[in-house]
This record gives sequence, structure tokens and C-alpha cells, in this order.
Amino acid sequence: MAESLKNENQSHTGAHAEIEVAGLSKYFGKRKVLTKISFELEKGGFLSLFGPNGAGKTTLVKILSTLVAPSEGTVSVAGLDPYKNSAAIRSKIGLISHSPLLYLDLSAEENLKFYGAMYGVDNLDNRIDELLEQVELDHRRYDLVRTFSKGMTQRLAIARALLHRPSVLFLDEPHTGLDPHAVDIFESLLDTIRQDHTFIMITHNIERGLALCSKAMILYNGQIAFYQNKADLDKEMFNEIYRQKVKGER
Amino acid sequence: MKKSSLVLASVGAVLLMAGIYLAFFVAPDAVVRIDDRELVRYSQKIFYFHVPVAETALVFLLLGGFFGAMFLAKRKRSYEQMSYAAVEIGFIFVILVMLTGILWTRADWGVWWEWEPRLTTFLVLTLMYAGYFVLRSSVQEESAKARFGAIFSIIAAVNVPLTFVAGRLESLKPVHPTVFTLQGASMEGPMLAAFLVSMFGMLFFAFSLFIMRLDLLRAREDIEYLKEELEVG
Amino acid sequence: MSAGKQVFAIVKKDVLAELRTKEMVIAMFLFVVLAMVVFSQAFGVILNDLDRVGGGLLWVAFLFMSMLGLNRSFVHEKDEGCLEGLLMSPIDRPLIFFGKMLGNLLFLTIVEIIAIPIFFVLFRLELGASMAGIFLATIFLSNIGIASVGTLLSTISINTKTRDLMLPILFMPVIIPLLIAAVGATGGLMSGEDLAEVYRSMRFIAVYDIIFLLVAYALYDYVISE
Repeated sequence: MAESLKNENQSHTGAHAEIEVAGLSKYFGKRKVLTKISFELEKGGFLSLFGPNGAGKTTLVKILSTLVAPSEGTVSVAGLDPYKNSAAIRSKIGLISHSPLLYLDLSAEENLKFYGAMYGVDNLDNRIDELLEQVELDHRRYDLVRTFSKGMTQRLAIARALLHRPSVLFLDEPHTGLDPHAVDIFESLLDTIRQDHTFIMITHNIERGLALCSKAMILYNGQIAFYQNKADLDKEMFNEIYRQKVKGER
Repeated sequence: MKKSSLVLASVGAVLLMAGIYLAFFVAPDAVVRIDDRELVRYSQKIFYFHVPVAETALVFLLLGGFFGAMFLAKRKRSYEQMSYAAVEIGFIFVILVMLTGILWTRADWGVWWEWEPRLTTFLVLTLMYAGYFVLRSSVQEESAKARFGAIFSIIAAVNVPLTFVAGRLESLKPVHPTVFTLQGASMEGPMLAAFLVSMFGMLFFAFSLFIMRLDLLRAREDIEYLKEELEVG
Repeated sequence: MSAGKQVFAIVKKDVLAELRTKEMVIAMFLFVVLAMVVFSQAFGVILNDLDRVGGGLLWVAFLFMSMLGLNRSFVHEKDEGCLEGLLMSPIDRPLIFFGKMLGNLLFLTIVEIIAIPIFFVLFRLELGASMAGIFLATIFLSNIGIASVGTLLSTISINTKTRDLMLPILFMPVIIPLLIAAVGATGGLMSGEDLAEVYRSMRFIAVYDIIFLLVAYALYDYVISE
């Protein structure tokens, strides 16, 4: 039932795509979570990933971000295999999740200092200054994260994710619970780093998801149900499939 | 029932029966002097059952840890099933050790329990492996259940020898009859024969149970899988 | 980023957070004192000379106190999804273990150092001054075992449905060999036993520590990630 599986005619430059996935499957025992997923994302690309809960989106991102091992197939992120070169890849990727990944009892600065030490970021103090300004949290740098609003926490999470200058960013439902002001800051930040950064974003927000992406994909039951470039995006087909698979309407 | 388990069970049963015969009719009786009479202490015969059960338990618990390690290394589901089956069999046998141990204690020393090294050790093993089952049942997700089970089976298996040594270390009233020492078994002839026959009988029997259990686990997993396939369509 | 710096960063983070709230340490300390009071009442009625069981009671109190602390230390990581943050960073999994384990060890030791004198007073125990050094060494050596096994098992237990309740079930049987040896050693020191026996127990504790540190090192990757 896979619709419109457009095979990517890649690389006019002949270079490898930033993210390459071929025949990726993940199962435990006999239960299949992902079945033969294949796609490519070029450097600077932005993939919006849609799908109902349990479709395998988070698992796919976890495999790409070294958190989970694949059962079958090949995966390449920034030219490296996440399973074999985990440590090397982690320096190049960042994750923004719906959990902030921040310690409530530490201040904004202490959180960033901690992650900075973990990633071995050079010139840490300057980098922290720079980022706190960018996310407009400079005035709250010594305050405990416990006292932050959801929007502020999200902004700090972005700063944390960008700390080590990753070239690939994974976003897991980043718009959840954000007020419009926070969304603005978030997206303007994304704008500033759009160039030379590759993104994969899981989202249920169709409007923002389609607006930001260069490619759109719908996952259903561990398989690709829809996959097109933004440029040739057939809006009707997308909506149709989305309605059927994600919303479960017939 | 699989052929191999049938064969093992039969061999085991034969050996066990032979062992019982040897234990009661061939092996020398333990004798006790009371007043001027010599009385046969039949409770000693439990030895031919109790010790093989204990050793079988230990074999299977260690196997459980071994298969757990293989599962983590190779990620093959079958290893996880083998680990689980082995721990189960081991656990059942540990409980048997406790039961026969209690009976023996009561028969020989008049009390139901004594806090001495080996009994205490097996009690600790019982509790530790009970924890194994509690752990598995309190994890929802299948892959995590298998992973944590395997990990704990390794931790527990490592702890088995440590618990034994600790018990021996702190002289917790060593009244338990010691037959096996570092100098070797202090048994001869008929006694040794009876013991070995029982020992092997028990092992064979336990292995047949193991194989049966493994089959059951695999069948159950296949059924679950088929069920899911039919539902999703 | 050297391994040492990363481990230190984890310990520093845990210490900072704890200094802020002091939740764990205060709770652990109160608990240990309360436990001692309860024991002295419960056993004091029956026994005239508590110094015979003093060694055992000390360790029971310490064990229960450490389970309290161990549970807490992972709650933060789990609750805010911080564990993922740690897993995403370019750090070797076993180093995460060492970082958490050293933090736990530190908190355990701090609470115990304050609790021990109180313990000696309440139970009217005596210890030759020359023995004090060995006594403290035994306690510290045992703490290493408690922290290692505890950190390993609490990482497992917070991933279960029953969370806090799971740790004692797993921890207590596994720690018994250590407990036996520790009670033997400290009890022996307090009742003026032959030092050779005490050293034998201490050697066992050291072996136990090494074995479980190795086990944790080998297994932690599997415990903490898929």
C-alpha cells in the first residue's frame, strides 16, 4: 500500500548525501517496527516526518541518532555509520526532543557548562555567551531551570542542542506546548542555521512541517506511505494519505 | 514432545531409579549409637537426592547467566529464551534444595531451620532469583524485558560463588555435613556409585525439562506473532 | 574531551544539584539516625550488651539508607529525559556508570562519616584508637561495593513499572555477601578479634568490589541503552 515512493535521483555533485538510509529494518523477535526503509537527505535538507503514534518515527530517529541499533540495512549519517562509529557521530548530531533534557536544579549556565564539558566544546564560555544571547535568555543565565516557562525551557534546549555545533539536527515534536512567541524565536533560530545544517523533524503540525521542509514523508506501520520533495509536493495526495493513515479516517 | 527430551527424560528416569535402589540397598548405612544400640539413620539417604538437586540447580543457574551473556553479545532471541528456561529450571531446583534441606535439618537436628552457611546461601539464592522473575514481570516492553532479564541473570550468576564463599568465610556455625572439600570427595565405592548415578540421573532429567520448557517458550512466541499478524492484516 | 573530564563533569553536576536542594543527603542522614534509634529501642529491651549486635545494626542502617539515596540519584535523569541527553553525548557508556557511582559513593561516605560517631555514642561501643584507621578503611571499601552494585541495579530498576520498590528486591540478595564480610570485619575490630580474620574479610570485600566493578563496566552499555 505504499503510495508514491519517489526514488531519489541524488547527487548532481556526486557527493554522498548527508543522510542515507537503505533497506533499514528494525524488529525485535518477530515483531517489526520498521520495514525496509530507504531514503536520502542531502546536506542542507529538511525532512518533515509525519505519521500516527507507533508508526516508527521515533525509532527511526533513534536509530539515526545512535540511541538504537538497526536490525538490518545500512545507515549513514554525515558519512558515518551510527552503529559502528557512535562516539564520532555524536559530536556531529544534536537532538531537540519534547523532553528538554535539562537539569531542573541547575542554572541555565550550569546546564550548558555541563554539556559543554561532555562534548569537549572549545572556548566554552564564549560559546555559552553567544548562544544565550541568540535564544534571548541572557538575563536568566543564573536562574534555575526549574523557574523557567515552557517556552524558555525550549529555547534553552535549543541552545544546548547547538552547543557543540552539530551539522545534523533531529527534532522530535519541537512545537509541542510552545506559545506563538516561542515558536517565532524557535523558527528564526532555525532560519539562521538553515544553511549547511541538515534537519529531520518529527511533527504533527502539518502547517509548520510542510512550510519548513524540503522533503516530506509519512510513516505508517513501520513503512513509508508517502515521500516527496517539497518542490513537487502533491498537496492533495498528501492530505489524502495523511487523513487515511494518520487520522485513521476511511 | 520432542524426541531429544523424551530420550533424556527416559535415561534420567532410569538412572534416578537405579540411584534410589543403590542408595537404599547398596550404599552403606549411616549408623548412630544410642545407649548401647546401633540405629540406622535413614535420614542420611536424603543426601543422594539433596546434593544432586543442589548441584543441578547451580549448573542451571550458571547456564542461565552464560546464555544471558550470549544473548547480549549476539542479540539472538533464542539465547534469551534459553537463559530464561535455564533460570526457571534452576529456580525450581533451588526450591527443591530448600525443601529437602528443611526435611533433612528436621530429621537430623530436630529443628526446621538453622542459620548456617549453605542453607542460608540457598535461601539467598532463592530470593535473588525470585527477584529475577519479579524484575521481568515489571517491565512492559518485550525487548527491555529480555535485556534486563539477561543482565540480571549474569549479575545473579556472578553472585552465586560469592555468596558461597562469604558464607564459608564468616564462621556461621558450620554444622552442615561436608562431604566435598578441596581434597576431593570423601566417598568410596558403593556410596560414590550411588551418588554419581543419582547425580547424572538428575542432570539428564533436568535437561529434558529444560528442552521441553524451551519448546514451550518458542511455541508461545510463534503464537503471539501469528496473532499479531492476523490482527494487523 | 578526556574521559576524566567527562566523569568529573557528571560528578560535579550531581554534587551541584545536591548542594542546591540537599534533598538526598538530609533524608539519608535523618533516616540513618532514626533507624539507629528504632534499633536501639527494639533490641535494647531484649539485650543487655548491644555491642555484640552493634556491628550488624550499623550495616543494616547503612544499607537501607543507601537504597534511599540510590533511588534518588537516578530519578532526576529519568524524569527530565536527561538520560537521553547523556546518551547522546560522545561519552563511553561505562564512564556514565563511573560518574554516577562516584557521586553516590561521595554522598554515602559523607552521611556515614557523620553518622558513625553518633552510632558509637548511642550504642556505647568502643573501638581501640589504633583500629580506627582500619575501621574506616573497611567502611570505605564496603561503600565502593555498595555504590557499584547499587548504581548498576538502580539503573535497571528505574526502568521498571515499580521503580523505587524494585531496587530493594534486587539489591538486598546481591549485597549479602558483602554484608556478611563487612559485619564480620567491623564486628571483629570492635570486639578485638585477631586481625588476620579481619584482613581476610577485607580481602573478600576487595574481591567483591573488583568483580562487580568489572561486571558493571562490561554490562552498563546494555543496561542504559537499547
